[in-house]
Amino acid sequence: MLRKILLPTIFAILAYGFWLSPNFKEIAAGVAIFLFGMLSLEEGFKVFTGGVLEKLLKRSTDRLWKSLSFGVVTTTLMQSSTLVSVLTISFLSAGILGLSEGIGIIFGANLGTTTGAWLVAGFGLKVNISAYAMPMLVFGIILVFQKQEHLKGVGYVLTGLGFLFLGIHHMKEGFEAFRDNFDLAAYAVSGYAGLLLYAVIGVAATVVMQSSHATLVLIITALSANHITYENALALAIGANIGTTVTALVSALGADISGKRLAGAHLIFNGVTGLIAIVLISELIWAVDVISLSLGIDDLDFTLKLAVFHTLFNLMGILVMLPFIQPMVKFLSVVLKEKPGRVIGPLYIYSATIEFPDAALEAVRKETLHIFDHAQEIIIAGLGMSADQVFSEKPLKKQLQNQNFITRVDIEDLYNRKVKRIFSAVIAFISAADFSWKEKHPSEFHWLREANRNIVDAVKGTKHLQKNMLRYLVSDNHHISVEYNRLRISIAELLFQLHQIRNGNDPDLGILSLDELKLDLKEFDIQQSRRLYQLIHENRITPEMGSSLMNDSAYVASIRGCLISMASTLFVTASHELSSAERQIALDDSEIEDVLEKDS
Amino acid sequence: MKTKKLLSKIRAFFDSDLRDVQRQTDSLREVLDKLKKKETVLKSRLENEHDPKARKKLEKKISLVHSQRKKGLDLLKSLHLSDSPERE
Repeated sequence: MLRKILLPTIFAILAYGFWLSPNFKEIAAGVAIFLFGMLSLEEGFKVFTGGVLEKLLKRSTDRLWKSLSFGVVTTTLMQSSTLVSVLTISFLSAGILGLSEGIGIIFGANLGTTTGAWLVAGFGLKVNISAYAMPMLVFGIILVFQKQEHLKGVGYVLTGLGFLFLGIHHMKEGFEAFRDNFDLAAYAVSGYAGLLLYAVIGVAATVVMQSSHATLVLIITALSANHITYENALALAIGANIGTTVTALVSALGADISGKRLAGAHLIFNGVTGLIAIVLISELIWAVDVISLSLGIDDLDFTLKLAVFHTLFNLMGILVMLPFIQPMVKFLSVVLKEKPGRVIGPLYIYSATIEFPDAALEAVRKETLHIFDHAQEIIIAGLGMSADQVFSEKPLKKQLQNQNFITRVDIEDLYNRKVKRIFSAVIAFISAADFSWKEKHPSEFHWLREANRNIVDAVKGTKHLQKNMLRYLVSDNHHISVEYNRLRISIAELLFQLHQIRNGNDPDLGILSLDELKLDLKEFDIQQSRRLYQLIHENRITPEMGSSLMNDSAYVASIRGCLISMASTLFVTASHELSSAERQIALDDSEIEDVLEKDS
Repeated sequence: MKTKKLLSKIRAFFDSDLRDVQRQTDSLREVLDKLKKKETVLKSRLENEHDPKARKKLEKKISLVHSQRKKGLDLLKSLHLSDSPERE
């Protein structure tokens, strides 16, 4: 209801303001152009996030100081803490990054974002930046129309910078013209009441504009035109810092538990920092004066002093909060717990990850492994075995010799509870990712989708096999019981071999080594059907048993085939180029048959 | 030979399709090298193996690796044909 009213109200207020004052219109247009510039800048940097930024993130976050520096440097370069936050949440959800490293990056990003104030106060207001904006826009747009992705990316970055500059120019012009007609400074409120009031205004402005950077530029341009007092500008800056966490909280609503924890850390950091800044405001103002004096900043240059203040209080926040990172991780893990539900959901994927190709791919891979772990558990239970038996070095046949009874498990129920939801989420995610960026990693996504399908088919195959298997394993007819035991052992042995491959216990196994498993499967199939016909021919099993065995052998072949195909995608550790070469060389069914024929 | 290599590198720099083909060729070569080594190791193991069952298993492995190598070499040849300057 509130949302329905909010937007028309904002539109009405803005329209009334535009009608009332052309200067207000210019300031608002400046903010709009500035925000559009930020969107364009983010779009541009996203082109590069597929490679450099993500590799850098993987490498440079193993120590706290490194994650802090990463946050500072990337936010300084991209001038967008939002993009860095979203990237961090994506990597956190994909399990590439730990929560404490993520918090380090967020702390760093808070400091990095203060460079924006320096740029605007030190450069934007002193130089006629609109003169730079025009060529940037022209070159940028030409590059945006280019086919190559990296040129397009550079184009978006240039266009973004051009619009940022143009936006600042319009805000500056608007405030300067505004000064002649109207004195906003008359509404200045001094003391703690003013501090709190303007901090709240800063929060509100940032929530509306969804960017603390835009709020800060607006504050600096208003301050430069003497529309607000220095003290009130400081309060607005504190408010902007707190307001930016609302954006992070909103985006974390759709995130998984780790994303929510990171947003929680962001809120705690900015909240505590803001609170300290409000309490220690006079000490901070004194410190800003001392630092400004030592940096040679003029005592009346309030815009640069605001930049000093912004950096100083964020730095102070980092210094205060740094020792509390580990307690904060513990606190957030206790407060924001994973809900233990009966139905198991995805662990690594959520919509924000789609934005970053490498993180998305890794998330899907991990999620598929997650599905496989549950599926394997179901298959093993469906075969009437335990994981300890299957993954033991002792021969399975011997271990199962003394098995007197087999407990029936409800595979359909287990599938619905442990696999179905994750499987549906992965398929939906891959489909959405396909539309997001078709050019990067399309084949990897295709193979991962196939791997998911294979895992689910293997579970369903086990369900079909289970019915007759449970009946005939305890049959009085020794022959049929032996055959069904052989069938289930063949699946379990394959799971054992795949387990070895997954854990890297077999040194020379890659996609091509899976051909050996395919060969074994074919051979097993041939021997199985020979035995089957012999058993029927010699009347050792009834024709009814024979037809069941024939159908179930087909299920077993399909289960094993699915598991081998899945492994060729999921357990491959080679580079993309090498694995695709191996895939090309891997033998198909008829080629495997040829090898068998030659051999026999 | 060096000039030829340099020329092919320059051509690849300007032609992204050709660059892809060269990348595929390099990967195929790397895999084929590994397979060749694997086949040699398996053959030497076969020479020292006397147990008939184990020998049979090794022979099967060798013929599998051999078939993979043959398929890889055929693929490499076809890539070479598409890589030649006469292509349209």
